[in-house]
Amino acid sequence: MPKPSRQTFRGGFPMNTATLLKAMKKILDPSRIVHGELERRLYSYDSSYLSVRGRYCPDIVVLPRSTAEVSKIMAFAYGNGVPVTPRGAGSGETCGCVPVRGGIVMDLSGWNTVEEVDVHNMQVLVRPGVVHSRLNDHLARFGLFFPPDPGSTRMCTLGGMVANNSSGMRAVKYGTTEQYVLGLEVVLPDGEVIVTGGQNCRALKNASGINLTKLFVGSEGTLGVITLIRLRVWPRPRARGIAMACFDKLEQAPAAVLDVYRAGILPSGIEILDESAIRAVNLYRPEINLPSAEAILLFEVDGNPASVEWEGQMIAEIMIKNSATVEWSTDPQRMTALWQGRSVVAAAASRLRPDGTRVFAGEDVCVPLDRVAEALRAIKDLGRKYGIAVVAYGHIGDGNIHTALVIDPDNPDEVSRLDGLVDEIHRLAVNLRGTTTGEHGVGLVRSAYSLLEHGNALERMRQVKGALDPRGIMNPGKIF
Amino acid sequence: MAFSLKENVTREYLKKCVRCGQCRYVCPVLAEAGRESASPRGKVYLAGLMQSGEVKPGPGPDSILSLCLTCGACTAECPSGLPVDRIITAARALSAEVRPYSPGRLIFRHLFSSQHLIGRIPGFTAVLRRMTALATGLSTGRPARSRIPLRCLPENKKPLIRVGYFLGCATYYLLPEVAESVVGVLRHLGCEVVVPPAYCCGLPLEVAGEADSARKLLERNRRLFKSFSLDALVTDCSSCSYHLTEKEFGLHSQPVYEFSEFLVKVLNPPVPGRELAAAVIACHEPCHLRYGRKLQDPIRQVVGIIPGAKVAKIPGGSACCGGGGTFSIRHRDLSAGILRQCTQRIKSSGARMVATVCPSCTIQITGSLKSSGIPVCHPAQLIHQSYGLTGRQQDKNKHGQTGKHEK
Repeated sequence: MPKPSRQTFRGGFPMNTATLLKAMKKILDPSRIVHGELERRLYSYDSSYLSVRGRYCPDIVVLPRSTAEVSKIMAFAYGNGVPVTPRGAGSGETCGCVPVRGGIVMDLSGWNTVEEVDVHNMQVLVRPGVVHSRLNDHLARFGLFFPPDPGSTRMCTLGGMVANNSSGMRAVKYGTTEQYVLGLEVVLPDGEVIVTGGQNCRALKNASGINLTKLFVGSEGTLGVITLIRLRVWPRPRARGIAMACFDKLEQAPAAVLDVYRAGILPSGIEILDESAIRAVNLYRPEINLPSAEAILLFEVDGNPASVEWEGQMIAEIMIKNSATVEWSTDPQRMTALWQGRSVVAAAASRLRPDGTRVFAGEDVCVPLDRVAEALRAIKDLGRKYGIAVVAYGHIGDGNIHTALVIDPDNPDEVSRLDGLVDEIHRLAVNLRGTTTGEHGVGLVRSAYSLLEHGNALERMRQVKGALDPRGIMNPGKIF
Repeated sequence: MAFSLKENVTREYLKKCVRCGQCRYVCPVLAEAGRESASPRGKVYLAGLMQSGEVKPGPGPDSILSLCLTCGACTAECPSGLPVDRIITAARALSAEVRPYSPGRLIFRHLFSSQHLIGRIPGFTAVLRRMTALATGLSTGRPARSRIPLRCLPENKKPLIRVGYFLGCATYYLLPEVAESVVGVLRHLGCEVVVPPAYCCGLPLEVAGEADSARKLLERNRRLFKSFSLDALVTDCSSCSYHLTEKEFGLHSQPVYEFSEFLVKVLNPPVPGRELAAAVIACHEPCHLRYGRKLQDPIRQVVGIIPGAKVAKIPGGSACCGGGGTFSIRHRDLSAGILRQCTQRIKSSGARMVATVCPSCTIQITGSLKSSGIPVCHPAQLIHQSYGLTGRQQDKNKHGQTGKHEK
């Protein structure tokens, strides 16, 4: 067990689990406090590789189930300078929910009720622990859906999605989470509760005041704790189809995507799988049986049946012109298999190497559409340079490329080469006028690139943070 | 292949966990407990720490590792292909190595490993039945062995196939009527049924970390069944069938089948004559059938051929019953919560009866549905009834008994 490096928190509060436990017991039922040494260690990780290389153990974990409880915890933490790190399912890839300075971890994943589905006003109120796919299962009964579609749909919570401004496979047409957040209930670091987007507002548009909602979306838990989310939802499309195009050359795929846009077609999702990603999917789910190719593009189109059929045919024609072979499917089973196959590449990439594992590091760059081919080629070259297998896949429709790096974590040489590769991938993205992260966020993993990306705007971000959290207790060590 | 935290092979598995959290989605214990220590991912992480020696086995890891039903849902879900339930079991075994011997541990171990002796203690079976009846309302008769002979010839005396019936402990002691129905149906369908006095399959011991004791039981069973020339092994219990298949108990010469699987895959039973009156039946698929054996609908297929039986669709599919061996005793509240979810789904299906193939599920669900008046039975009992076999005199002559045995 790593020894704590400090004796007190910034506010002078003694840093030990016993004193925190005593304080938390006054606020919460003991069954919702985790204080055992081993149990706390299970809150030291998320999906990022960095989280298992470091040892970031919280001093106590709390599982609040009401805004009042969160408010009391925050008031205590603020008064005593104790760091607080909110956490959803811990499926992030950036150490975002990992308590790098110890203190309190607030596990919100069990606070998972859908409070209200306002069918008439096309919105839904959810608590932060609701898992994305469960929300959409619930909404399906009302003929509605929440469009952002992360690959981690069966893991990630809505609170985490809002805090990281997540998106996913349908961002091409439907955009990112921020476009759907109408309002938030947030507990500020000092325990004050505010409602953004209008206190009692149920309107779908709101131009009143400075948009605090957008300030909290993507703030990665550094400004406050999100306790209630008002989300805009959309009617479920009546029809859907998937075109799968297989290419002999990886570079042909990005050009084909641009041709689809030029033809005036906006698919709901455009995904790319490189040769190794195809193999990973086939290893995980052999029944999906993807054909072998250097690249596969999956186009999803949705809407009314006639337009779906027309767009599907148009995409097929464009793909054939781009030397691809095409499979067009509207069979629900096949579509589910293909889409699921794509969504599991992230973890299934580990299957490619018996003694290795996929690590989440440098995995989320996003580049301009006209630089995608260049980026793909450069990333593959970097992989060769460092002798590390790179599985490329992702949301090519908006230039968001995921790179699964497969290494043997027991091999120190590979681990040190990994660090070099990850650094170069991040810098490559910025050099190509892109960003180090399209949807996973900054957290601890990419905070070193914040200045490179934002320049003097970073200082203004720090000022905003300082205004809301002058004692710096909210998720310290992240982003800035 | 040895599967132990001391073996390198397990390290290869452990490092494949990317902590993506997809296992959280399907874990019934996590859904109820709501904390990371209950998640499969947490326990795999802990197993990694134990393997590297960073965490020593002991009561601390033990209590976290006990938060698992070994239902296998996480293993089926894991994109990285980790055998999560086996990793947890292996970690438990590591913990068990340093666990001090206590009266409780000895009783637990011998309850399964020396059950053939314990069963002879006067009054033991009566006390067991009484305790179960008090807890669940399940009232049963005397143990199966007193009713079923060692060898039973088929009704038409010309056996199509010679079947070994692996009669598991729970059915033997607590659900003897199921055993009678299994034998009756198999005989009716032309099987010669051999019922050796089997030992516990070893699963309860294995999942509790008592791997050595479990292995010994398996060997004893192997020797026992080897002495009979059998075409196939059938068990009425999905967990026995899962464990025996996992351990390659039967291999190709004596494949192991779960009863409903055997009917569907091998016997192809004719449609019974008697109609079950207004039976709306929910087919509860035990976890070890779905995730362990990866069999999706043998129960439904068997129930489906019964005239008058209407299969009720369980909304969201079958949920774990929360039994999980000693889990329901050690974590009573969690188990009750998981069971509540399971029976709520069954109730909302509109079923008036439940069919399942796991004694543990049967006992759990019976207790929970007692007040709703929804009985739980084995598909063998339903088809037995539908073939008009129930109530027939089952004396020794009719069974064609040719041997004696004792459990």
